[in-house]
Amino acid sequence: MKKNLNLILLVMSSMFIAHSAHALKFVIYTDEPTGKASEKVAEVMKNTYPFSKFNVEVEIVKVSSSELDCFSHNGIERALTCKNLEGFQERALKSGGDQAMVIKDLNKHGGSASVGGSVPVMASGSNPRVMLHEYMHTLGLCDEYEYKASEADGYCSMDTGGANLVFITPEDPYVGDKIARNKHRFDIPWFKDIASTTPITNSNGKILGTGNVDFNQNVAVNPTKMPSTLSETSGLYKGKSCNNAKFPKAVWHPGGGSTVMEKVENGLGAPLEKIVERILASKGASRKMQIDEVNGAAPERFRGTGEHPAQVMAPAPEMAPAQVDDSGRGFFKSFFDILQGAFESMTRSWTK
Amino acid sequence: MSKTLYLITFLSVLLLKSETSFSQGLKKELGICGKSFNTIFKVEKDKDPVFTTAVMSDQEFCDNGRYEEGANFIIMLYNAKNQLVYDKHIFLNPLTFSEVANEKGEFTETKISDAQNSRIVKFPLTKEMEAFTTYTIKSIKTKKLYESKKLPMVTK
Repeated sequence: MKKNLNLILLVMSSMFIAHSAHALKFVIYTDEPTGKASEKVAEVMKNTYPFSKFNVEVEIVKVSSSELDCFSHNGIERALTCKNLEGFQERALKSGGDQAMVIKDLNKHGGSASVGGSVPVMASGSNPRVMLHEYMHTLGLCDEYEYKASEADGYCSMDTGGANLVFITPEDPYVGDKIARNKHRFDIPWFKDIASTTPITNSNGKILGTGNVDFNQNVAVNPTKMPSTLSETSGLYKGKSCNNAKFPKAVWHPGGGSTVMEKVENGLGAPLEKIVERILASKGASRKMQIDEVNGAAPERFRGTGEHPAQVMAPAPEMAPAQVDDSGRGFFKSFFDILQGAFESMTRSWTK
Repeated sequence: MSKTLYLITFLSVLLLKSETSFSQGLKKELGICGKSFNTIFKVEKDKDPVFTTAVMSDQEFCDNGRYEEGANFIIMLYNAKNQLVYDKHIFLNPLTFSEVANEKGEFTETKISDAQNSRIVKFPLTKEMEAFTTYTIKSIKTKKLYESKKLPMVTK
Protein backbone atom coordinates (compact mmCIF):
# COMPACT_ATOMS: atom_id res chain seq x y z
CA MET A 1 0.00 0.00 0.00
CA LYS A 2 2.83 2.35 0.88
CA LYS A 3 4.39 1.60 -2.46
CA ASN A 4 1.14 2.52 -4.17
CA LEU A 5 0.95 5.79 -2.27
CA ASN A 6 4.46 6.69 -3.31
CA LEU A 7 3.59 5.90 -6.88
CA ILE A 8 0.47 8.04 -6.74
CA LEU A 9 2.38 10.94 -5.24
CA LEU A 10 5.03 10.66 -7.91
CA VAL A 11 2.49 10.51 -10.73
CA MET A 12 0.51 13.45 -9.37
CA SER A 13 3.52 15.63 -8.75
CA SER A 14 4.94 14.82 -12.15
CA MET A 15 1.67 15.67 -13.83
CA PHE A 16 1.45 18.93 -11.98
CA ILE A 17 5.01 19.80 -12.87
CA ALA A 18 4.31 19.01 -16.49
CA HIS A 19 1.11 21.04 -16.43
CA SER A 20 2.56 23.96 -14.49
CA ALA A 21 1.79 27.23 -16.13
CA HIS A 22 2.80 30.14 -14.02
CA ALA A 23 2.29 31.51 -10.55
CA LEU A 24 -0.25 34.25 -10.22
CA LYS A 25 1.89 37.26 -9.39
CA PHE A 26 0.62 40.31 -7.51
CA VAL A 27 2.88 43.34 -7.27
CA ILE A 28 2.03 45.66 -4.38
CA TYR A 29 3.36 49.23 -4.55
CA THR A 30 3.33 50.95 -1.19
CA ASP A 31 4.71 53.99 0.59
CA GLU A 32 4.34 52.36 4.01
CA PRO A 33 7.65 52.54 5.89
CA THR A 34 7.07 49.22 7.67
CA GLY A 35 5.24 47.37 4.88
CA LYS A 36 3.04 45.63 7.48
CA ALA A 37 -0.27 46.25 5.74
CA SER A 38 1.22 44.97 2.49
CA GLU A 39 2.39 41.82 4.24
CA LYS A 40 -1.09 41.30 5.66
CA VAL A 41 -2.60 41.71 2.21
CA ALA A 42 -0.07 39.21 0.85
CA GLU A 43 -1.10 36.75 3.55
CA VAL A 44 -4.77 37.16 2.67
CA MET A 45 -4.13 36.74 -1.05
CA LYS A 46 -2.01 33.64 -0.51
CA ASN A 47 -3.97 31.96 2.26
CA THR A 48 -7.59 32.42 1.33
CA TYR A 49 -9.13 29.42 -0.35
CA PRO A 50 -9.13 28.92 -3.34
CA PHE A 51 -6.11 31.24 -3.81
CA SER A 52 -4.31 28.98 -1.32
CA LYS A 53 -4.70 26.16 -3.81
CA PHE A 54 -2.74 28.00 -6.49
CA ASN A 55 0.82 29.20 -6.68
CA VAL A 56 0.45 32.84 -5.72
CA GLU A 57 3.47 35.15 -5.55
CA VAL A 58 3.35 38.58 -3.99
CA GLU A 59 6.10 41.14 -4.55
CA ILE A 60 6.09 44.20 -2.32
CA VAL A 61 7.75 47.26 -3.83
CA LYS A 62 8.34 50.32 -1.68
CA VAL A 63 7.85 53.64 -3.43
CA SER A 64 7.66 57.23 -2.28
CA SER A 65 4.42 59.03 -1.46
CA SER A 66 5.04 61.44 -4.30
CA GLU A 67 5.32 58.53 -6.72
CA LEU A 68 1.95 57.22 -5.59
CA ASP A 69 0.39 60.70 -5.64
CA CYS A 70 -2.81 59.51 -3.98
CA PHE A 71 -5.73 61.67 -2.95
CA SER A 72 -8.86 60.80 -1.10
CA HIS A 73 -11.60 61.96 -3.38
CA ASN A 74 -13.01 60.16 -6.35
CA GLY A 75 -16.53 61.44 -6.65
CA ILE A 76 -17.24 60.27 -3.11
CA GLU A 77 -15.75 61.46 0.14
CA ARG A 78 -13.01 59.33 1.70
CA ALA A 79 -12.56 57.14 -1.37
CA LEU A 80 -8.92 56.86 -2.27
CA THR A 81 -7.34 56.99 -5.68
CA CYS A 82 -3.89 57.71 -7.07
CA LYS A 83 -2.75 59.58 -10.15
CA ASN A 84 -0.09 57.24 -11.43
CA LEU A 85 -1.98 53.94 -11.48
CA GLU A 86 -1.30 53.25 -15.16
CA GLY A 87 2.40 53.75 -14.50
CA PHE A 88 2.33 51.12 -11.75
CA GLN A 89 0.43 48.74 -13.96
CA GLU A 90 3.16 49.15 -16.57
CA ARG A 91 5.85 48.53 -13.96
CA ALA A 92 4.08 45.38 -12.84
CA LEU A 93 3.82 44.27 -16.47
CA LYS A 94 7.55 44.73 -17.01
CA SER A 95 8.39 42.74 -13.90
CA GLY A 96 6.27 39.81 -15.06
CA GLY A 97 3.36 40.56 -12.74
CA ASP A 98 -0.26 39.73 -13.43
CA GLN A 99 -1.83 42.37 -11.24
CA ALA A 100 -0.62 45.64 -9.72
CA MET A 101 -2.01 46.82 -6.38
CA VAL A 102 -1.41 49.98 -4.38
CA ILE A 103 -1.40 50.41 -0.61
CA LYS A 104 -1.28 53.99 0.57
CA ASP A 105 0.18 54.71 3.97
CA LEU A 106 -2.90 56.24 5.55
CA ASN A 107 -3.57 54.94 9.04
CA LYS A 108 -5.60 57.87 10.24
CA HIS A 109 -8.14 57.42 7.52
CA GLY A 110 -11.69 57.37 8.84
CA GLY A 111 -12.29 53.90 7.49
CA SER A 112 -11.42 51.54 4.73
CA ALA A 113 -11.01 53.03 1.33
CA SER A 114 -10.58 51.28 -1.93
CA VAL A 115 -10.90 51.47 -5.65
CA GLY A 116 -11.58 48.29 -7.61
CA GLY A 117 -10.42 49.20 -11.04
CA SER A 118 -7.43 48.11 -13.07
CA VAL A 119 -5.18 48.76 -10.07
CA PRO A 120 -6.96 48.30 -6.73
CA VAL A 121 -5.99 50.90 -4.15
CA MET A 122 -6.25 50.51 -0.40
CA ALA A 123 -5.38 52.60 2.65
CA SER A 124 -2.96 50.87 5.00
CA GLY A 125 -5.42 51.36 7.88
CA SER A 126 -8.02 49.26 6.10
CA ASN A 127 -8.92 45.67 6.66
CA PRO A 128 -6.55 43.74 4.35
CA ARG A 129 -9.51 41.72 3.10
CA VAL A 130 -10.65 44.86 1.27
CA MET A 131 -7.98 44.08 -1.31
CA LEU A 132 -9.40 40.58 -1.78
CA HIS A 133 -12.83 42.10 -2.36
CA GLU A 134 -11.40 44.52 -4.90
CA TYR A 135 -9.39 41.86 -6.70
CA MET A 136 -12.50 39.73 -6.96
CA HIS A 137 -14.11 42.61 -8.86
CA THR A 138 -11.34 42.30 -11.44
CA LEU A 139 -12.24 38.60 -11.76
CA GLY A 140 -15.80 39.57 -12.61
CA LEU A 141 -17.54 39.20 -9.28
CA CYS A 142 -20.14 41.73 -8.25
CA ASP A 143 -21.01 43.36 -4.95
CA GLU A 144 -23.70 41.65 -2.92
CA TYR A 145 -24.55 44.54 -0.59
CA GLU A 146 -27.47 46.89 -1.01
CA TYR A 147 -26.61 49.88 -3.14
CA LYS A 148 -27.94 53.30 -2.30
CA ALA A 149 -30.56 54.63 -4.69
CA SER A 150 -28.05 56.89 -6.45
CA GLU A 151 -25.82 53.94 -7.43
CA ALA A 152 -28.56 51.35 -7.80
CA ASP A 153 -30.32 53.36 -10.52
CA GLY A 154 -27.26 53.43 -12.74
CA TYR A 155 -25.84 49.99 -12.02
CA CYS A 156 -29.09 48.06 -12.12
CA SER A 157 -30.10 49.60 -15.42
CA MET A 158 -26.86 48.29 -16.99
CA ASP A 159 -28.01 44.68 -16.54
CA THR A 160 -24.40 43.52 -16.72
CA GLY A 161 -24.43 40.97 -13.92
CA GLY A 162 -21.34 38.90 -13.25
CA ALA A 163 -19.93 35.59 -12.12
CA ASN A 164 -21.90 35.73 -8.86
CA LEU A 165 -24.87 37.88 -9.80
CA VAL A 166 -27.62 37.53 -12.35
CA PHE A 167 -30.65 39.64 -13.06
CA ILE A 168 -33.75 37.49 -13.56
CA THR A 169 -37.24 38.88 -13.39
CA PRO A 170 -39.27 35.93 -12.11
CA GLU A 171 -42.37 34.69 -13.84
CA ASP A 172 -45.48 34.26 -11.82
CA PRO A 173 -46.04 31.41 -11.22
CA TYR A 174 -43.67 28.69 -12.44
CA VAL A 175 -45.04 25.24 -13.14
CA GLY A 176 -42.42 23.16 -11.40
CA ASP A 177 -38.70 23.27 -10.72
CA LYS A 178 -37.80 21.38 -13.88
CA ILE A 179 -39.48 23.98 -16.08
CA ALA A 180 -37.73 26.78 -14.18
CA ARG A 181 -34.36 25.05 -14.57
CA ASN A 182 -34.84 24.60 -18.28
CA LYS A 183 -35.89 28.20 -18.67
CA HIS A 184 -33.00 29.74 -16.75
CA ARG A 185 -30.16 27.27 -17.15
CA PHE A 186 -28.36 29.54 -19.64
CA ASP A 187 -29.09 32.70 -17.66
CA ILE A 188 -27.36 31.53 -14.49
CA PRO A 189 -23.55 31.64 -14.84
CA TRP A 190 -23.06 29.12 -12.00
CA PHE A 191 -25.84 26.77 -13.12
CA LYS A 192 -23.45 23.82 -13.41
CA ASP A 193 -22.64 24.21 -9.70
CA ILE A 194 -26.28 23.72 -8.70
CA ALA A 195 -26.87 20.08 -7.83
CA SER A 196 -29.91 18.43 -9.36
CA THR A 197 -31.17 17.87 -5.83
CA THR A 198 -31.08 21.60 -5.03
CA PRO A 199 -34.23 23.28 -6.27
CA ILE A 200 -34.08 26.75 -7.79
CA THR A 201 -37.73 27.27 -6.91
CA ASN A 202 -39.77 27.11 -3.73
CA SER A 203 -43.45 26.73 -2.83
CA ASN A 204 -43.78 23.53 -4.85
CA GLY A 205 -41.95 24.91 -7.82
CA LYS A 206 -44.13 27.97 -8.18
CA ILE A 207 -41.81 30.73 -6.99
CA LEU A 208 -38.28 31.30 -8.28
CA GLY A 209 -35.41 31.01 -5.83
CA THR A 210 -33.81 28.41 -3.62
CA GLY A 211 -34.42 31.03 -0.95
CA ASN A 212 -33.35 34.51 0.03
CA VAL A 213 -29.76 35.31 0.98
CA ASP A 214 -29.62 35.41 4.77
CA PHE A 215 -27.40 38.45 5.29
CA ASN A 216 -27.26 37.77 9.02
CA GLN A 217 -25.46 34.52 8.32
CA ASN A 218 -21.81 35.52 7.98
CA VAL A 219 -19.86 33.06 5.84
CA ALA A 220 -16.71 31.95 7.66
CA VAL A 221 -13.27 32.89 6.36
CA ASN A 222 -11.46 29.85 4.99
CA PRO A 223 -7.67 30.17 5.36
CA THR A 224 -7.06 26.49 4.65
CA LYS A 225 -6.13 24.65 1.48
CA MET A 226 -9.41 22.74 1.54
CA PRO A 227 -12.77 23.97 0.24
CA SER A 228 -15.47 25.05 2.66
CA THR A 229 -17.95 22.46 3.75
CA LEU A 230 -19.92 20.95 0.91
CA SER A 231 -23.12 21.47 2.91
CA GLU A 232 -23.05 25.07 1.67
CA THR A 233 -24.53 24.15 -1.66
CA SER A 234 -24.85 26.43 -4.63
CA GLY A 235 -28.33 27.53 -5.52
CA LEU A 236 -30.25 30.58 -6.64
CA TYR A 237 -30.64 32.98 -3.74
CA LYS A 238 -32.36 36.34 -3.94
CA GLY A 239 -30.10 39.29 -3.12
CA LYS A 240 -30.64 42.94 -2.34
CA SER A 241 -28.25 44.99 -4.50
CA CYS A 242 -31.00 46.62 -6.53
CA ASN A 243 -33.70 46.99 -3.88
CA ASN A 244 -33.22 50.75 -3.74
CA ALA A 245 -33.32 51.38 -7.47
CA LYS A 246 -36.13 53.52 -8.81
CA PHE A 247 -37.34 50.39 -10.55
CA PRO A 248 -36.17 47.59 -8.18
CA LYS A 249 -34.85 44.52 -9.89
CA ALA A 250 -34.51 40.97 -8.68
CA VAL A 251 -30.86 39.93 -8.36
CA TRP A 252 -29.69 36.42 -7.58
CA HIS A 253 -26.54 34.98 -6.04
CA PRO A 254 -25.13 31.44 -5.79
CA GLY A 255 -24.81 31.36 -1.98
CA GLY A 256 -27.29 31.78 0.84
CA GLY A 257 -25.05 33.68 3.26
CA SER A 258 -23.23 37.00 3.55
CA THR A 259 -19.92 36.72 1.71
CA VAL A 260 -16.85 38.92 1.29
CA MET A 261 -18.65 40.60 -1.58
CA GLU A 262 -21.15 41.91 0.98
CA LYS A 263 -18.94 42.46 4.00
CA VAL A 264 -15.15 42.28 3.79
CA GLU A 265 -14.74 40.41 7.07
CA ASN A 266 -16.66 37.44 5.72
CA GLY A 267 -15.36 34.53 3.69
CA LEU A 268 -16.22 33.39 0.20
CA GLY A 269 -18.30 30.34 1.08
CA ALA A 270 -18.37 27.16 -0.97
CA PRO A 271 -20.35 28.59 -3.93
CA LEU A 272 -17.99 31.55 -4.50
CA GLU A 273 -14.97 29.35 -3.87
CA LYS A 274 -16.01 27.12 -6.75
CA ILE A 275 -16.51 30.09 -9.04
CA VAL A 276 -13.21 31.77 -8.15
CA GLU A 277 -11.32 28.50 -8.43
CA ARG A 278 -12.66 28.00 -11.92
CA ILE A 279 -11.74 31.54 -12.93
CA LEU A 280 -8.19 31.27 -11.56
CA ALA A 281 -7.69 27.92 -13.30
CA SER A 282 -8.98 29.34 -16.57
CA LYS A 283 -6.50 32.22 -16.24
CA GLY A 284 -3.73 29.65 -16.27
CA ALA A 285 -2.62 29.93 -12.64
CA SER A 286 -0.78 26.77 -11.67
CA ARG A 287 -2.08 24.65 -8.84
CA LYS A 288 -0.02 23.58 -5.87
CA MET A 289 0.49 19.91 -5.32
CA GLN A 290 -1.76 18.88 -2.46
CA ILE A 291 -1.97 15.60 -0.59
CA ASP A 292 -5.74 15.93 -0.26
CA GLU A 293 -6.05 15.77 -4.02
CA VAL A 294 -4.34 12.42 -4.01
CA ASN A 295 -7.25 10.75 -2.26
CA GLY A 296 -9.67 11.90 -4.88
CA ALA A 297 -11.13 15.00 -3.21
CA ALA A 298 -10.39 17.36 -6.05
CA PRO A 299 -11.94 15.30 -8.86
CA GLU A 300 -15.04 14.88 -6.65
CA ARG A 301 -15.67 18.62 -6.74
CA PHE A 302 -15.64 18.69 -10.47
CA ARG A 303 -17.78 15.58 -10.87
CA GLY A 304 -21.10 16.29 -12.53
CA THR A 305 -20.13 19.83 -13.32
CA GLY A 306 -18.79 19.17 -16.77
CA GLU A 307 -15.61 20.81 -15.60
CA HIS A 308 -12.31 19.15 -14.95
CA PRO A 309 -8.94 20.58 -14.00
CA ALA A 310 -7.34 19.00 -17.03
CA GLN A 311 -9.90 20.53 -19.35
CA VAL A 312 -9.26 24.19 -18.73
CA MET A 313 -7.32 24.38 -21.96
CA ALA A 314 -10.15 23.03 -24.08
CA PRO A 315 -10.83 25.45 -26.93
CA ALA A 316 -13.95 27.51 -26.52
CA PRO A 317 -16.60 26.58 -29.07
CA GLU A 318 -16.97 30.03 -30.54
CA MET A 319 -13.45 30.51 -31.84
CA ALA A 320 -11.48 27.83 -33.57
CA PRO A 321 -8.73 29.64 -35.42
CA ALA A 322 -8.22 28.06 -38.78
CA GLN A 323 -4.57 28.96 -39.08
CA VAL A 324 -3.43 27.78 -35.68
CA ASP A 325 -2.42 24.16 -35.58
CA ASP A 326 -4.07 22.72 -32.49
CA SER A 327 -3.74 19.05 -33.36
CA GLY A 328 -0.68 18.63 -31.20
CA ARG A 329 -2.47 20.27 -28.30
CA GLY A 330 -5.40 17.85 -28.67
CA PHE A 331 -3.04 14.88 -28.69
CA PHE A 332 -1.20 16.23 -25.71
CA LYS A 333 -4.40 16.82 -23.74
CA SER A 334 -5.75 13.38 -24.58
CA PHE A 335 -2.51 11.84 -23.40
CA PHE A 336 -2.77 13.55 -20.04
CA ASP A 337 -6.49 12.77 -19.80
CA ILE A 338 -5.73 9.08 -20.23
CA LEU A 339 -2.95 9.28 -17.70
CA GLN A 340 -5.12 11.15 -15.24
CA GLY A 341 -8.03 8.71 -15.80
CA ALA A 342 -5.76 5.78 -15.03
CA PHE A 343 -4.50 7.55 -11.97
CA GLU A 344 -8.00 8.35 -10.70
CA SER A 345 -9.19 4.78 -11.11
CA MET A 346 -6.13 3.65 -9.17
CA THR A 347 -6.78 6.09 -6.35
CA ARG A 348 -10.43 5.08 -6.18
CA SER A 349 -9.56 1.41 -5.90
CA TRP A 350 -6.88 2.25 -3.37
CA THR A 351 -9.22 4.34 -1.15
CA LYS A 352 -11.83 1.58 -1.28
CA MET B 1 0.76 -1.55 -14.54
CA SER B 2 2.67 0.41 -11.90
CA LYS B 3 5.92 0.14 -13.80
CA THR B 4 4.26 1.27 -17.01
CA LEU B 5 2.80 4.30 -15.26
CA TYR B 6 6.18 5.10 -13.77
CA LEU B 7 7.78 4.89 -17.17
CA ILE B 8 5.19 6.92 -19.02
CA THR B 9 5.16 9.65 -16.42
CA PHE B 10 8.89 9.79 -16.07
CA LEU B 11 9.40 9.98 -19.82
CA SER B 12 6.71 12.59 -20.34
CA VAL B 13 8.13 14.83 -17.65
CA LEU B 14 11.62 14.38 -19.01
CA LEU B 15 10.38 15.16 -22.47
CA LEU B 16 8.61 18.32 -21.47
CA LYS B 17 11.28 19.63 -19.19
CA SER B 18 14.14 18.83 -21.52
CA GLU B 19 15.65 21.26 -23.95
CA THR B 20 15.94 18.73 -26.77
CA SER B 21 14.87 19.87 -30.18
CA PHE B 22 12.11 17.27 -30.15
CA SER B 23 10.57 18.56 -26.93
CA GLN B 24 10.94 22.15 -28.02
CA GLY B 25 9.33 21.25 -31.31
CA LEU B 26 6.47 19.55 -29.51
CA LYS B 27 5.87 22.52 -27.25
CA LYS B 28 5.94 24.86 -30.21
CA GLU B 29 3.56 22.62 -32.08
CA LEU B 30 1.18 22.93 -29.18
CA GLY B 31 1.30 26.67 -29.73
CA ILE B 32 1.11 27.47 -26.05
CA CYS B 33 4.71 27.85 -24.94
CA GLY B 34 7.32 30.32 -25.91
CA LYS B 35 8.82 33.61 -24.89
CA SER B 36 6.55 35.86 -22.92
CA PHE B 37 4.79 38.74 -24.60
CA ASN B 38 3.06 41.00 -22.09
CA THR B 39 0.52 43.70 -22.80
CA ILE B 40 -1.85 46.13 -21.14
CA PHE B 41 -5.33 45.85 -22.55
CA LYS B 42 -7.57 48.86 -22.07
CA VAL B 43 -11.25 49.49 -22.61
CA GLU B 44 -12.62 53.00 -22.63
CA LYS B 45 -16.20 54.07 -23.10
CA ASP B 46 -17.06 55.09 -26.68
CA LYS B 47 -13.56 54.11 -27.88
CA ASP B 48 -12.11 50.97 -29.42
CA PRO B 49 -10.46 48.58 -26.95
CA VAL B 50 -6.68 48.79 -27.38
CA PHE B 51 -3.31 47.60 -26.17
CA THR B 52 -1.57 50.57 -24.60
CA THR B 53 1.74 48.79 -24.05
CA ALA B 54 3.37 45.63 -25.35
CA VAL B 55 6.62 44.26 -23.92
CA MET B 56 8.70 41.28 -25.01
CA SER B 57 10.33 39.13 -22.39
CA ASP B 58 12.72 36.21 -22.68
CA GLN B 59 10.94 34.49 -19.84
CA GLU B 60 9.46 31.13 -20.83
CA PHE B 61 5.68 31.29 -20.71
CA CYS B 62 3.17 28.49 -21.22
CA ASP B 63 -0.30 29.83 -21.79
CA ASN B 64 -2.68 27.63 -19.87
CA GLY B 65 -5.04 30.57 -19.59
CA ARG B 66 -5.93 30.91 -23.23
CA TYR B 67 -9.67 30.66 -22.70
CA GLU B 68 -10.71 32.51 -19.57
CA GLU B 69 -13.93 31.78 -17.76
CA GLY B 70 -16.58 34.38 -18.60
CA ALA B 71 -14.42 35.96 -21.32
CA ASN B 72 -15.89 39.04 -22.94
CA PHE B 73 -13.19 39.76 -25.53
CA ILE B 74 -11.34 37.71 -28.14
CA ILE B 75 -7.89 38.94 -29.02
CA MET B 76 -6.42 37.84 -32.33
CA LEU B 77 -2.75 38.38 -33.09
CA TYR B 78 -1.33 38.53 -36.62
CA ASN B 79 2.16 38.31 -38.00
CA ALA B 80 3.74 40.47 -40.70
CA LYS B 81 2.15 38.30 -43.38
CA ASN B 82 -1.24 39.09 -41.86
CA GLN B 83 -1.68 35.49 -40.77
CA LEU B 84 -3.58 34.79 -37.61
CA VAL B 85 -1.02 33.26 -35.30
CA TYR B 86 -2.68 33.29 -31.91
CA ASP B 87 -6.00 33.98 -30.30
CA LYS B 88 -6.97 34.37 -26.68
CA HIS B 89 -10.29 34.80 -24.90
CA ILE B 90 -10.02 37.15 -21.96
CA PHE B 91 -12.21 38.81 -19.38
CA LEU B 92 -11.94 42.47 -18.52
CA ASN B 93 -14.54 43.88 -16.18
CA PRO B 94 -15.91 46.97 -17.93
CA LEU B 95 -16.86 48.44 -14.55
CA THR B 96 -14.69 49.98 -11.87
CA PHE B 97 -15.83 50.22 -8.27
CA SER B 98 -14.84 53.00 -5.89
CA GLU B 99 -15.90 51.85 -2.47
CA VAL B 100 -15.55 52.99 1.11
CA ALA B 101 -15.98 50.56 3.98
CA ASN B 102 -16.39 51.31 7.67
CA GLU B 103 -14.59 49.69 10.59
CA LYS B 104 -17.06 46.78 10.58
CA GLY B 105 -16.14 45.95 7.01
CA GLU B 106 -19.46 47.15 5.63
CA PHE B 107 -19.44 49.23 2.48
CA THR B 108 -20.98 52.61 3.07
CA GLU B 109 -20.22 54.48 -0.15
CA THR B 110 -19.94 53.24 -3.70
CA LYS B 111 -19.39 54.76 -7.07
CA ILE B 112 -19.55 52.53 -10.14
CA SER B 113 -18.15 53.68 -13.42
CA ASP B 114 -17.91 52.20 -16.88
CA ALA B 115 -15.62 54.98 -18.11
CA GLN B 116 -12.47 52.85 -18.49
CA ASN B 117 -10.60 49.85 -17.18
CA SER B 118 -7.48 47.90 -18.09
CA ARG B 119 -5.54 44.75 -17.21
CA ILE B 120 -2.36 42.86 -17.96
CA VAL B 121 -2.62 40.14 -20.60
CA LYS B 122 0.22 37.69 -21.35
CA PHE B 123 0.85 35.79 -24.55
CA PRO B 124 3.39 33.15 -25.52
CA LEU B 125 5.48 33.78 -28.61
CA THR B 126 7.07 30.84 -30.38
CA LYS B 127 9.48 31.11 -33.29
CA GLU B 128 6.92 29.62 -35.65
CA MET B 129 4.52 32.44 -34.94
CA GLU B 130 7.13 34.98 -36.04
CA ALA B 131 6.71 38.43 -34.56
CA PHE B 132 3.26 39.67 -33.77
CA THR B 133 2.71 42.93 -35.57
CA THR B 134 -1.00 43.64 -35.51
CA TYR B 135 -4.02 42.65 -33.50
CA THR B 136 -7.77 42.61 -33.79
CA ILE B 137 -10.24 42.56 -30.94
CA LYS B 138 -13.73 41.16 -30.98
CA SER B 139 -16.35 41.78 -28.33
CA ILE B 140 -18.06 38.52 -27.41
CA LYS B 141 -21.08 40.34 -26.02
CA THR B 142 -21.79 42.62 -28.97
CA LYS B 143 -20.01 40.48 -31.63
CA LYS B 144 -18.38 43.69 -32.81
CA LEU B 145 -15.04 43.23 -34.55
CA TYR B 146 -12.80 46.23 -34.00
CA GLU B 147 -10.41 47.61 -36.53
CA SER B 148 -6.99 45.96 -36.76
CA LYS B 149 -4.21 47.91 -35.04
CA LYS B 150 -0.42 47.84 -34.75
CA LEU B 151 1.07 46.58 -31.51
CA PRO B 152 2.61 49.37 -29.43
CA MET B 153 5.92 47.67 -28.70
CA VAL B 154 8.11 49.23 -26.06
CA THR B 155 11.53 48.12 -24.91
CA LYS B 156 11.86 46.84 -21.40
